[in-house]
Amino acid sequence: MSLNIKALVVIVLAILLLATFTVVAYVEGAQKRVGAPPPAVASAEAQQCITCHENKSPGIVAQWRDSAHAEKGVDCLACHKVAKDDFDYFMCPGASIPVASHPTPKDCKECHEQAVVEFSRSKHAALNAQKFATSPDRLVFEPTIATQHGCQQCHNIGHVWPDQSIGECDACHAKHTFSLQVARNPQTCGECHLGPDHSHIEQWVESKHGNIFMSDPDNYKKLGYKSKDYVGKPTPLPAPTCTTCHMDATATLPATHDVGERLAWESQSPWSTRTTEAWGNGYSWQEKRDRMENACSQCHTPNFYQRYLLSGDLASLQYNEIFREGRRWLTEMNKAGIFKTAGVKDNLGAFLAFGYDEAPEEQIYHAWHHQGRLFRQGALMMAADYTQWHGIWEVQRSLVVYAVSLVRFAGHRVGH
Amino acid sequence: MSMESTQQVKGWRGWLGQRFPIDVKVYEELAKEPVPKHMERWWFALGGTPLLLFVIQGVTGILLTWYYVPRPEFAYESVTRISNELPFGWWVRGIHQWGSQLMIIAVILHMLRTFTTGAYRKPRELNWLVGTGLLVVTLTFAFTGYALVNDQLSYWATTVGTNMFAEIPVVGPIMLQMIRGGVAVTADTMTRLYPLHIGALPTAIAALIALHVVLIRFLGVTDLDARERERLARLGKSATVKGNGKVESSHFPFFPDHVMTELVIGMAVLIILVNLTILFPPTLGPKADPANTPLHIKPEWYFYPVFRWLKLFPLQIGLAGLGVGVLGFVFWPFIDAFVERRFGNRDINVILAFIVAVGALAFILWELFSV
Repeated sequence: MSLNIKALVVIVLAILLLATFTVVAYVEGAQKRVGAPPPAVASAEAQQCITCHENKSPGIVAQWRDSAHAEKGVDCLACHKVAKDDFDYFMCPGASIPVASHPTPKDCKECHEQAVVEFSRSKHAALNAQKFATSPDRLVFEPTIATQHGCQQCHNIGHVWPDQSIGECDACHAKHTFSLQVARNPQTCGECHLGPDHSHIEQWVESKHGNIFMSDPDNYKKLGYKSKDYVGKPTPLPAPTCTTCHMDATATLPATHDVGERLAWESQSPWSTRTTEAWGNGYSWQEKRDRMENACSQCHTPNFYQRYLLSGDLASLQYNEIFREGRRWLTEMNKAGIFKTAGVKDNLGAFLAFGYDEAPEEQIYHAWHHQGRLFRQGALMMAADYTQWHGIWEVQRSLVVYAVSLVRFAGHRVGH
Repeated sequence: MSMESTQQVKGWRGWLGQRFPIDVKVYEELAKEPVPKHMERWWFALGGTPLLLFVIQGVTGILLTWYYVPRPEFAYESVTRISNELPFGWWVRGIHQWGSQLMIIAVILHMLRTFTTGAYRKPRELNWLVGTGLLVVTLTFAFTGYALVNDQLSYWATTVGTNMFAEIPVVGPIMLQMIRGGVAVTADTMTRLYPLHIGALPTAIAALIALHVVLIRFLGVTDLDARERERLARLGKSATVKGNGKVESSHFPFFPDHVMTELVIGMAVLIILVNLTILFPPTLGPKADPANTPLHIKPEWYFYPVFRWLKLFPLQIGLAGLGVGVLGFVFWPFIDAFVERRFGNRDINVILAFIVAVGALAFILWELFSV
């Protein structure tokens, strides 16, 4: 190749290089910068909502801008769209745009069908607060305002809407970011799963799982991953949170929004029952146990988790035997006509549904509804102190107080 | 141009000549030094490519140091910021990442040419040694640079890579401690690798490149045609057997002819490099998590042959084999001379290069497609 031809080749290559630089400049121009508002992916109508609400309620617009919805062009009216005869039809006075004042799972279902279907058959969906407002005692002691700010705040997760869809997706997927990081945060579950009757968040905190997870605050930042991206891969967390075991995908198990799909025990009710009967949704408790074991197997050997779950099984059965004795005394008192407990023959929810009006009934209610749950659930969730001191110790203590009050009550009645 | 004549020149040349009295003409002549005709072929003009890429790595590396923070709690975040937030950050990082890979390819191709053409033979043995030093420094650059990204794969590749030091007899465990600054890869490892990457290694590579070039200037490049003439003479054949009459050594000037060939290759490499950054911009995995070992840890592709080799044998035997291989590679000119003296074989280098190149390529593909 002569020098002149080489020079010509260099010139041609230089022009090509310049052309490539223009492509670099183009790619740079198309880069999405973190922190900048998302590109204009909202429809013209939704843009009216954004413009107005950036002044009226800038918080919700900022939340939406941070969301995956904004990234993908799911704008205000994608969720707040409405038909004339919808129960939440609302004409926005500022823009004359008809909007749905409260999107329901029916709206979410349009994009997230599987999640909504799974949720609809879950135990969460069955927690409609209205079911519990019928208790006469509660109506006496709990005014409506207490119910609204108390029970309903959590039990609304199973709210039945006029469009027949069930649930409050934003109970966990807080609006308007609908952030996975927030949804997976144990504190989100702990908004409701805490306190004297089902202290799940406290039990997780007490467990080795919680300790390892909380030892590194950065772990909270890792919770925003998409479960579907980790099917067949290890979960990107050093220790599980609530959703890791109960909902998230494992190497061989798909993610689910049916929170009971991996629970072999119904451990909230007065009697420990296998979930083939309660919240079975067509699955046997053995199938559910297999699923939970699948989650355990991501980090533990079968030898460890099978032995651990077996001890949880035994704790659940042991509770039944202890509680059975207490219930027997109550039945005897009923038979003797010393006092009458409405619905005492019902297995599930007798006290809750029909209330308690004598001191012994309150004691046995505690032995089940508070301490009996902590004992069983603590044993299944690696929470030693909740199994022992908040659990079985308190169950026994309640039953002793119950027995004493039963004798006193009977003596008092006989004395009359 | 002597100092006296410099003083007679008017204008800025005269002014500069008085204060920096060098004879430009001498250097012009040096630049025009004739080089053998075979150097016209692109295969013989690959030495400038690693140099060009080193300059590019230097410039992009300096730009990256403006924003990179060598602490485990900030490293990943600063790389994320460079990639996602800073103007052209993705591109600068892409050039640096792809540049490192092309530099390794360029050095290996250049060495392969040197090896197969026997250009390391007397009196150029020392320059071969310098060349192997340049390869080692280039690979160390790549290893330390990859470690600084601090995502999961980079962290665990660093852990596995440094683990190998532990297998060196006697001093291995102490070396490992010194390199990591502790038992595991931690913040103290990063503060060791970072100054190595941006200070010690650039200094070492600059010094070795200077020595490499100086030795080339002193010794000149191998005149392959002259060697061919010698070989044919030994066989009692005519020196013009090629039929085209070009066996007779003819030369052409280093500048501008050879430099132009280097420029053509350099431009082509630049175009490839920029296109790679556009088509395959640099990615970033999840942040390094010392508590969570990924299922599959793999180094970068250029370490695949070594990685696969070590998988085939128990670690210590594999490392011993590797050590023998590296020593053989470094001191090859002396081994080759011995083989030639003893057996009269001058083609063993070609056979060996073929076997090693095919083997390395096979190992890379094997590792690439294995889980």
